[in-house]
Amino acid sequence: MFKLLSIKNLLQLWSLMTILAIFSIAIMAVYTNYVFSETQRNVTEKVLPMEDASRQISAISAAFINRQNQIAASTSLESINNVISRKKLEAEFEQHWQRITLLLPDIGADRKIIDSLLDYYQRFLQIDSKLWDLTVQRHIMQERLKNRSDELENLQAEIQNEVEAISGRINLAVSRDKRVIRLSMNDNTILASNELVKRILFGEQSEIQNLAQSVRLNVLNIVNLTQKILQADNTDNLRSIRDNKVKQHQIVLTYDVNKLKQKLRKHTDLLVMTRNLEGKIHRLIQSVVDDNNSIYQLRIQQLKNTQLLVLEQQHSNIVLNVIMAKINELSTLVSDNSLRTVIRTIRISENAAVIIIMLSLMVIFGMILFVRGLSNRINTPLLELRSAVDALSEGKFETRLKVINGKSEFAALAIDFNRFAANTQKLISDLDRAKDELQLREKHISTILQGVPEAILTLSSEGVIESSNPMAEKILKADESILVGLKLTHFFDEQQNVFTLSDIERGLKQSQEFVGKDYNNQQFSMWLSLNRITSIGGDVWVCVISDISAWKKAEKDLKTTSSELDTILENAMVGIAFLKDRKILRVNHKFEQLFACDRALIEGKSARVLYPSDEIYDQLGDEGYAELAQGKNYVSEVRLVRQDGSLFWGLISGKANDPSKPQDGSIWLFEDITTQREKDEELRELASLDPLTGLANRAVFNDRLEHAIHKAHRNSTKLAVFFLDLDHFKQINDSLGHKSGDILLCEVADRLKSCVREGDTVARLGGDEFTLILEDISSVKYVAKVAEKIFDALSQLYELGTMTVEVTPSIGISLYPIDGRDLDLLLRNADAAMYYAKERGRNNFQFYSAEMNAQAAERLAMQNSLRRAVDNNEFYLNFQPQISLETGKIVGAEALLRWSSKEWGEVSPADFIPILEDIGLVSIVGEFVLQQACDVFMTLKELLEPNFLMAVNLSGHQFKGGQLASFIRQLLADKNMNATNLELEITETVLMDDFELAVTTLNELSDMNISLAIDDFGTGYSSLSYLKKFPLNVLKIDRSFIRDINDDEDDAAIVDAILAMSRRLKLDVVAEGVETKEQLSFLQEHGCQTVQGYFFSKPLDFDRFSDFVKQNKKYI
Amino acid sequence: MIKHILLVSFFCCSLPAWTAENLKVGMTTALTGPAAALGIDMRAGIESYFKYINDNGGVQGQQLELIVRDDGYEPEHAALNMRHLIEHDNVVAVIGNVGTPTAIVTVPIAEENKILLFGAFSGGDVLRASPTSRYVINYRPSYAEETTEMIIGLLQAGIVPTEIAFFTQRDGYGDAAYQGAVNALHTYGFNNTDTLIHGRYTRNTLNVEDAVATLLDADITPKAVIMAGSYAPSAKFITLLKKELPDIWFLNLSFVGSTSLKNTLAENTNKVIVTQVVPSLDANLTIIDEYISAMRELDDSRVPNEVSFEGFIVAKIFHRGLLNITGKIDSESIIDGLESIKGIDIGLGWDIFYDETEHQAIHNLWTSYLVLGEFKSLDWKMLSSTAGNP
Repeated sequence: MFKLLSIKNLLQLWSLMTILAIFSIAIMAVYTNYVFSETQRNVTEKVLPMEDASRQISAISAAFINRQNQIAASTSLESINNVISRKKLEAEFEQHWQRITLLLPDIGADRKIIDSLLDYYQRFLQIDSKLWDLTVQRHIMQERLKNRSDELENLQAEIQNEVEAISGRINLAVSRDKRVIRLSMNDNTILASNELVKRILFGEQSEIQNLAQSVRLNVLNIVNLTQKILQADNTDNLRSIRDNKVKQHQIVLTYDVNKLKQKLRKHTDLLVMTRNLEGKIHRLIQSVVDDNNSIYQLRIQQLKNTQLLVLEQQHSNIVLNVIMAKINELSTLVSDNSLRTVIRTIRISENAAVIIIMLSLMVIFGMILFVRGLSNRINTPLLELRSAVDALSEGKFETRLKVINGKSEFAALAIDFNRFAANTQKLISDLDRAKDELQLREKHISTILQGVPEAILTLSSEGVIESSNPMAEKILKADESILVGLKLTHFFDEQQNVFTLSDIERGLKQSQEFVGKDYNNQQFSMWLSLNRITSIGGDVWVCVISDISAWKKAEKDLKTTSSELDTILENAMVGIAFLKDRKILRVNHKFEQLFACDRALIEGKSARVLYPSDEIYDQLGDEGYAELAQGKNYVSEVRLVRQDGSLFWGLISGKANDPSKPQDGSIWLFEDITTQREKDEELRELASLDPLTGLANRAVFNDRLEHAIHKAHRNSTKLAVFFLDLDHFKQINDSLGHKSGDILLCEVADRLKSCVREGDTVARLGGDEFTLILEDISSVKYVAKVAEKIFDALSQLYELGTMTVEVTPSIGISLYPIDGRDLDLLLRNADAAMYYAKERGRNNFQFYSAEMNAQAAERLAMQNSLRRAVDNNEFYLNFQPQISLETGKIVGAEALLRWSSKEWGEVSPADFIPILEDIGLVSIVGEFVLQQACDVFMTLKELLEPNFLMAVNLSGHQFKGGQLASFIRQLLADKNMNATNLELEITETVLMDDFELAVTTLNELSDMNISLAIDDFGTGYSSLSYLKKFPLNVLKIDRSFIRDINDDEDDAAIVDAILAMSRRLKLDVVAEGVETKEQLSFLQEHGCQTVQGYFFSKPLDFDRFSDFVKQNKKYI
Repeated sequence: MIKHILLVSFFCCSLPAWTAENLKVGMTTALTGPAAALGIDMRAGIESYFKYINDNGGVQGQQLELIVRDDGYEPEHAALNMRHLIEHDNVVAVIGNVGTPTAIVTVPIAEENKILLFGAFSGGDVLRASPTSRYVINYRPSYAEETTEMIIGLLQAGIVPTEIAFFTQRDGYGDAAYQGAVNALHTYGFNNTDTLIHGRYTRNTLNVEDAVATLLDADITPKAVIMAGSYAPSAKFITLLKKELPDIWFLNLSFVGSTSLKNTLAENTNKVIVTQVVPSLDANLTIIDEYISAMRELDDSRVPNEVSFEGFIVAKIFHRGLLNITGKIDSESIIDGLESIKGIDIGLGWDIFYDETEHQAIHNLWTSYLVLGEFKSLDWKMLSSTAGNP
């Protein structure tokens, strides 16, 4: 660049640059110093306090966590006030927060962290307040509940007291009267005593006492229920306790109290007491269930509170985690920020030093460069000019001088020299190029003459050959040395009559083909052309000759073959078409028939017209031509369309003429296979569909599931299998008939199909068992959603003709791959899950879990064992003696079913009886028990008291069908046993479950003089007024009451009340589970007639029982 | 030398903390409910003696502090109180509790925690287990001893067993009294005890009508009723029955509290007998003077009675036990101290004797009867003369 400038200018530029360099060094130094001190200030004033503040905020967050733990752990209002104060934490947080926000404004982009941290902190404070409030609420509720319970206990004591006072007063009044009567009888003042007997109290004493006992019993029950309310952990339970149990007792209480009031209406003082009692009972019920502050309401609130508390705690944990994460981010941000500041300072000072050194070096280097530049400026152009002239004189015409734009005088000299050199060079190069071109053309022509497949001859105007090319030797069978000098006509067959060139010219007008003969006189088909070239030295003829003998022969052969093929083609039994570029070139007769077309119309059209849709056409094209390209035959069955528009199934097969270019030509065969195909289809359909519902059958389902599993495995997707059946479908089928059952199943199938996606499979395995496959499922939630949808759809009412029924499904679900990777396992686990759903009260759906399988397996195994147990005689009976407290003798026995299983050993009845009920064997086993018990009684009859009672337990299932009474009648007749020796024990639940049936059956049994007993009395509703509707003879007091009779005043009171009431209802009482002398004394004292329990004997097998009977001991 | 200085300084530091601590003694009793009068008086008796000791410098420089909790004569509350006294109040002993049903729960708690239960106001068997429980020490005779005394007295007065009826509380107390009397009758050859007339009532209620009716229904009109009840229902029973059968004798166990009974009954009620476990207040004994002056010190308004007197005696015996201790005072050392009392007369006119198997201070009873609103010593023969037997 310097070369453009004059020397003066260069000197001026130099001094300017030097001043600039020194100036920038100074600026650099000042700036570095400034940055350094600024950074120092930044670190001490901002970074350190900021780090400190963020550490403090972490500490405060930890304190908050601590505070929440303390709140959660607090047990009372007192202790919750001792947790870390929030105000203090908030104030500290505020303080440190202020510091951070003051210090951080220049962070800019990271402000988001700060804002969201503050946002989360605010949220956390809200949650903290909620948690606090909820916990305080919890404690308040706990205290209120405790107070209420205490109140209730006092109230109960008061009520018991009141009842006792009322009944005491009545007893006293009556006793006084009796005494007066006794005394007056001595004095013979009968009149007065008659008067007394008429008093109302006298007559109704026992009834009033019974009412009072009933009140006590029901109040006790309500108080016991209060415990259950306090323990209940869900609102449904609570509601059920309130609506069923408490209300039941309340009704009885209201009834009893009203009755009492009515009885006592003439006794003002007692009436006042009863009203008082009524008030207290009202208060009791109020405080248990009715008023807003009742234990029931409090418990419900408490449950809600607990729920909320758990939710808020979870929420709080989440928010706290977020806050901690944000604080971490903040700390990282702060430390990064400070680190960055320090590093920046260091870098700036390092850079400044480097820049200063560089600038100094540049100044020195610039000086050297400048001096060198100046000397070169004069010497170089002169030397260049000299060497260029030398080169030109040596013949190097391409030599040029460098031309530099500028005012320099060297530049003008260089331009002139260059112009001269260029002109000289152009002249010489034009000459060379013309020479080269000429040589090249000559070479081309000779090469062509050598290479062409025809013989080329040059002739004189007389027709004498002057020269020939190498091919001429091959065609005419003579080399150039022989040919030159011969006449062209020499090579024509004589019959052609060609003697001169003009003869040839004439012949050419008709055809270029001649019969020629070679030098050896061999004939050949000759193709010839002749041209005259006019030139300065006279005319020259050029003749071109080809041997076309081979070509002529081939043409003839082809003609023959072609007509043979045509015949075959036309008469073939299959439709044949030739295609090129998927266009129909040619078809045969059969093809016309097949496609109902005219070949004239169809030839030339695209093959698309043969197919019903673009899709099939494209698919066939893709698949078929890929096969053809490999040289294979392509065969396929496709739908084809006739030209009249009708469809048919065709078997097509194609092959390419040339596999490397299948598009260029291929042959296709077409066959109509519609009939055959329809037959196949029908067969397949028949085998794969469930004829009733049209759903897939088991085989298809298995096949599809197998496929689905493969697919899921390949694509790493999930799938779900549903196993579904209808609860109590059998009953519907039995009661409404199979036809209705079938309609129901079809409707279920339709609803199922409407619930799933197009590609999902719905199948019916048989009966009311349905299965579904959901493929490619995104989440378990989706599966649950589908299950719910199915559930809702199936639970809608069904119209079966005139009837409307409601059916609910039980659904089990297993998932691939977690619940199983093969078909069997998935299906089995879905089945197990469905079974579990049934166990959970039917009418729901369950996902499979491994634990279910174990349970189900055990249950299944036990079911199988139980089924065999009947045949293997594994059941037997034990007998527990019942002792009369009046005579001390054995007056009865309870027959108890036992199972000694080969596989399971001795199984508890509590375990196997529910399974018996499930698998419907309970009736058979029940009959077995009845028969055995009767047999045992008849065997021992001579040794037993005449009114001995053999007690047999009945299950609710045995009532179903209504055949029980007739069975027993027949049994007693068969065994010749007296009906008065048989006692049947039923639980209260059985009576409540099917009231109508129970009443009918029990009346029948009672009419036969069979004794009927209520088992486990006291554990159920214990409503004697209700039980009065049944023809009962005996109450069996549940063992749970007897157990604590000596220690628990409540139990003692209940037993006392039961005994008192059963006397009123003229029922005998059997106390179960008597184990100690004390229990026995209590029962004796309170007038119980019969007892049963370990105190006398445990249940005995037949041998021991006969021994027991034979001893004929008096046990009391 | 240095070691000694260290030791001294150690004691100097620990001493103030040690002396400031009171010697805590617990009590769970009825301060409310029908048996409240008994609990309140028992507390007053014990406090009056404790005050006397504390005013005279305490024991080993420590003040005696009585921590009282109300159980309303209900076992459940008594159990809670007992645990609270032991676990939170750190008492060294529990003293002067009232009632047998409450004792049934407090005794096992005392034994489980190895805490002395001393001088309970109950004659129940639960406090007199065989073999003797180390942690239960009594002052008063058992209910069985009281009913035995009654049976002997009645038989001496010529009343036959079939003429004796019972009125008892339906719980451990009533059972103990009734069983005591039945055993005594067996001893005297009457085995047909099942036929005895027996009326019962529920604790903490006034529902005695049933029991009255039972007695009225009896074929043989009873001449005497042995009563094991608290004062309020007992008084009601007496009043109701007297209207029908004015000639019956009512024999009450000491537990009834003779003063409370007297105050509840109508004026001039007669034929009411109470067996006492303390001497009559009109007797000429030094301890009675001590008691009256201590009560006056404590609360001028209180009228002396046999219950607070028993409390006073219990506290005095307890203090004698403490005096026998030389080392640290705790439940074990107090028991050892009490078991070292061998034949001391604390002013009752009877010697008190304890050892490892004898945990009852006296086996003597003072029987009194109500006449003109005062209790006087009773001579059993009086029954035969006033009963008007043929």
